Amino acid sequence: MRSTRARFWRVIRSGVLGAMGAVSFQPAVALFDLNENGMGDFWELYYGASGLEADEDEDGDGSSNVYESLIGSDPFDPESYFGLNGYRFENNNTQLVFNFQAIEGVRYYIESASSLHPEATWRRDQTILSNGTGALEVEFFINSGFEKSRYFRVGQETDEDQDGLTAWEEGLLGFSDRDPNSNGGNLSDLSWAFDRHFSGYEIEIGEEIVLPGATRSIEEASRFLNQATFGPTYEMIDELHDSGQSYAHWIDEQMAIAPTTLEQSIAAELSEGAEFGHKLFHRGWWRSAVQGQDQLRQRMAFALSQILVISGQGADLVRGSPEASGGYYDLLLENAFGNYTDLLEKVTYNVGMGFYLGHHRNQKENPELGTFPDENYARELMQLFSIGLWELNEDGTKKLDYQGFPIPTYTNFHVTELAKVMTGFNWGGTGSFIGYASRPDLPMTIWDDYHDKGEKFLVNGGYIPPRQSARNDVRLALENLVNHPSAGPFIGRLLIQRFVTSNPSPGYIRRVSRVFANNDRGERGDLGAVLRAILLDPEARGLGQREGVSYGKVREPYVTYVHLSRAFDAENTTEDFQVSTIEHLDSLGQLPLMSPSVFNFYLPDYKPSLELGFEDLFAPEFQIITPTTVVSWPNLLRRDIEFGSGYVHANPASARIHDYSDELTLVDEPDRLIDRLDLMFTYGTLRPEMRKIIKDAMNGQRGALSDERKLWIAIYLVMTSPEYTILR
Amino acid sequence: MKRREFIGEASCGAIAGSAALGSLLNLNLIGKLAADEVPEGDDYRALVCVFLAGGNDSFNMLVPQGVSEYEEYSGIRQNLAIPRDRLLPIDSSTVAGKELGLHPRLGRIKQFYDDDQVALVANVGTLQQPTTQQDYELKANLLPDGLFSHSDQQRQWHTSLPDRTSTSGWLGRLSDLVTDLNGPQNFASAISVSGINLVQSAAGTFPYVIGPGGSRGLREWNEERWVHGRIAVTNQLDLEYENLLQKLFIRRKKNAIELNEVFRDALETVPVDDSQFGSGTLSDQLKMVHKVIQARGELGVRRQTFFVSLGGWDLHSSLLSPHEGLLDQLDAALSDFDAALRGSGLADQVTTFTASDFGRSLTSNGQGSDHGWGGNQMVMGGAVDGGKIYGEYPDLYVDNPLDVGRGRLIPTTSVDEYFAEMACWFGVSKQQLPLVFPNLNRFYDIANPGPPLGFMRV
Repeated sequence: MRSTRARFWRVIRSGVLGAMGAVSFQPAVALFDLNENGMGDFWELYYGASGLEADEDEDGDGSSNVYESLIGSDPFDPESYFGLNGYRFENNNTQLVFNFQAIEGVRYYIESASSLHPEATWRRDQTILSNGTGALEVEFFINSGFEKSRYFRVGQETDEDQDGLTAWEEGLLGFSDRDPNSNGGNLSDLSWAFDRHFSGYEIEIGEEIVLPGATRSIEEASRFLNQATFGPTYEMIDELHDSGQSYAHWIDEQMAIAPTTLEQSIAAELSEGAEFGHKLFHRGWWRSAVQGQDQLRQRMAFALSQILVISGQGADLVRGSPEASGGYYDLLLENAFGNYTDLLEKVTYNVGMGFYLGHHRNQKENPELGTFPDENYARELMQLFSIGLWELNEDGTKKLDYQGFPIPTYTNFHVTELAKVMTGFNWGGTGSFIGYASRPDLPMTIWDDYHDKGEKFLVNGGYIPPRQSARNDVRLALENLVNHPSAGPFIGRLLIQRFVTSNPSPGYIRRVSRVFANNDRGERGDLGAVLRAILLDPEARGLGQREGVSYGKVREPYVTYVHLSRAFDAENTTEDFQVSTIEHLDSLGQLPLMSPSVFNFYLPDYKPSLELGFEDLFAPEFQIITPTTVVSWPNLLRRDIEFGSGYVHANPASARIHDYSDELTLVDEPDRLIDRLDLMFTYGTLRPEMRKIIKDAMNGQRGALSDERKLWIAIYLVMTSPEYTILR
Repeated sequence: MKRREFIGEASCGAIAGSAALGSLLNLNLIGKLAADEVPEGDDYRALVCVFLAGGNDSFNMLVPQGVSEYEEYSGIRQNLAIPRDRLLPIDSSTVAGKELGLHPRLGRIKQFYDDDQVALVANVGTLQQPTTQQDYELKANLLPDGLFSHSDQQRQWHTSLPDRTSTSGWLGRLSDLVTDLNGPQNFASAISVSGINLVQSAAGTFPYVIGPGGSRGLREWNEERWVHGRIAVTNQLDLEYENLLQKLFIRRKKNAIELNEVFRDALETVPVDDSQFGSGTLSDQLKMVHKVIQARGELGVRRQTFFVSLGGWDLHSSLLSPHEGLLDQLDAALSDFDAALRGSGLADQVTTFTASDFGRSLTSNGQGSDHGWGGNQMVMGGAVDGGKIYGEYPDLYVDNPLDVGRGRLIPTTSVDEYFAEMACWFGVSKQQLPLVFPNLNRFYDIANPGPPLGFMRV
């Protein structure tokens, strides 16, 4: 990213003493740029400039088109640009007169500093709002408080609040460039614009100029819900479309719904005398995922469970105790839209995590026994849960050192230091570090006397002084990690991969990182805001981006399996949920809280590149799409389509029978049936050839099929089609 | 280049005239063996990689037993030390000045070792170049990327390229070189019973993944009542998509359906196997490997690689007892596999070796150990010059010159040397070795008349 903003200042010397010099500033970039040509769309629309090349200079005024787009000048008017025409001193050098080229409606600043040192402080001395376009003369009084030598500059801010809308754009929209949240709602100004556009509403920019809303067809509503839920029902799609509700409004409503926790169903089952065991967790999980109205929260918790991994494969407590696994999952549900530092803190104290990554009963170095703190949690907390191995730019690309090498975020020294922080934990409900209580329902307690109370050196220059309380140490260490510049792009990318696309562009990651850094109310790590930014981003919503050859993601096999249940009203059943856990893991390669290791079911950087000869394609889920699962997955879907969801061999009667009544009425009109399935599952993307294949199959190649069999094969072919399998 | 310089028993000893040129990308085009150069008869060879996922604490697998070195061992391991009198003593005459023993649960492996069927390779690990403690402290850029991280170290054991993000693994590159021995693009040249992996992937090779029960197909695929389904799915998979993910999905599914038919038919020709395998995930996988090897004729393969794995080795919180259980499984599975191969007369043609993320810290964190670096590995088979320990077994005392902290040891043998030895046996000539192991020359000069380590019989 080149530093464009630096060019908007013209440094001058006072004339008494001084010199010209370069000043470096944070770069500005217009982020409402749906055609991704580097120039903001509002500016393009306002000046009718949509066909221009960024690096060219249409009006020959010395300013490139992209430069003009950032300062808001007219790319067709050679008089409309920003630049210093000259300056002079008057009245015995007590008055400095600037003459510069200004644009109507833009605020300019005169600033001064005592040196040109890169870290010198520039003081803002005067503000001028230009009421016309062309040369502007401004007088500045040098009062007696100024030292003899002082440097002056005149310039404009392009995006002072760093919300991705330029100052000029914010002026058009009637927003403030000093407040990233000046639209009056709970979205950032940029997200407001995205939401309004993609939800189908026009945006007025200035008088008589309107950016029309994107077409929000019912298919688009379905596509959104396919990204944001465990799969929409027909009614959900219909409702979102009919209501005309904006996406952001739907998200707000979802976030307000109380979590459908697993504890509710686990407790209910236990009170009815159910057998204690890990199946209680899985049945509870299915109830929440299928029946929960808090679909966005359910999906976010499932995504988080694949970042903040604990697994029954590796911790007997997680596998054996539904209170431990259910408690952990509920924690993810409850904090799904909360603050990331708070979530990490709860995860750190969670006893399931304590057993899984071993900081439960981890104690400070013991010189007599020659033992040191366990490093496991410390290492994975950094590598997988917060900052990753490499220092990242805001856009997710690796930072490079002066030799061009990527820069590790930490060394093994930092692991051993952070391991010291993670000492002193024991079961909750005991009176000491060495006491015993089997309380998977309580957070762990941390005991100062077994906690390393020395100083600790953390990543990014962080430091914890000695003799802090154990709790304080933990909090400081987690804040240090979440405040690390890599945390936003690292966690942001992982979440984008779970919801939208395996290969987000740097721009997408940057827009999400910005929101991670600041939710527009000054808070860092607001997961709800991050998720809003992910789902409302043009790369999630826009039509053009979808055509990219590497766009989209493989739907997680487990999510498709839940979708089948949801699509056909299995949510309304009152029967027991049966979950054939081993079979799910074997056939789908996934099962909640049962990944093979802390590295989840697949790696975010898995590249199947050599198969296609395409070097830079990430496709995490393809790591579990093997020659065996690529057939056992459709086999499992087919069986459940025919026999009901949650079919188990041992107890076929317990399968939750699907309600196909709406679909069966359409079997005689295959086009309408396919329309309906296409809307629910593939948001109107089934190709004509695919529709024909489905119709032919319904006709049966040898003899007529029953209505049910016609329906079954249609659902099966839709749910195993490339259009459905790849969400895009 | 003549075939004999390339393949066969003397391959590693012979040096052909000109060094091979080419990049990894077109490896499968340049190094191919011409099919008409393949000798008559059953010259079948297979490499079986047993991956111990999570990082085997292998200084508790191969342990100092002499009085002074045991003291150093128990001094650093503290409560993780295995009692000296429980260790199984083995011939360690190749390691100067040290007496070593095996973990007490490796009783059957010890027998194989005593019978010269098993070799041990000491302190092997990922290296960019030979490394000292001073290098470790001052030259971060010359260390393997992501040292001590599971995912990165596993990846590097797969790629043998610790200085870059490679999308191909060394067994895959090896398979690419022998493409013509197996017929063009033979899917059975790389079989995984443990999921998609990098080690068997390369430009022309991708592992065919099966389960311990074999391959799978779509339900009722060949049944008359599902003929409408079969036609529809077949037509679906003939559609063309622009999107790469959709393209890849179609490709994988289509391959899986077609190859299942071929593979299943081939396996049906294998006579009922009366070899005895115990239970357990590793035994189940190796049992299937044995079955597949017996179908080699039907599958038309003369060079095969296999990938199996056993997880659970990341024993931070509790080492001793779980480690015993894992070594029990390893001991049983490997020895059952060996017995089965002997029964089918294939012991000399199959070489089985272990690999793992890393060794572990020698110090204790209370009940377990943390991520380390160098570790010890086993190689088994009739072609192995066993009963010996290869490489240098390190001193284990606290702060010894290889210790970069808490008993994490800098490897003294690189994975490149360890693997190159087996690649030679598989049939790659010395001058072809750099195609499979681009960094090998940092550790081993291919002009050297001797082998990289010497544990394979030539």
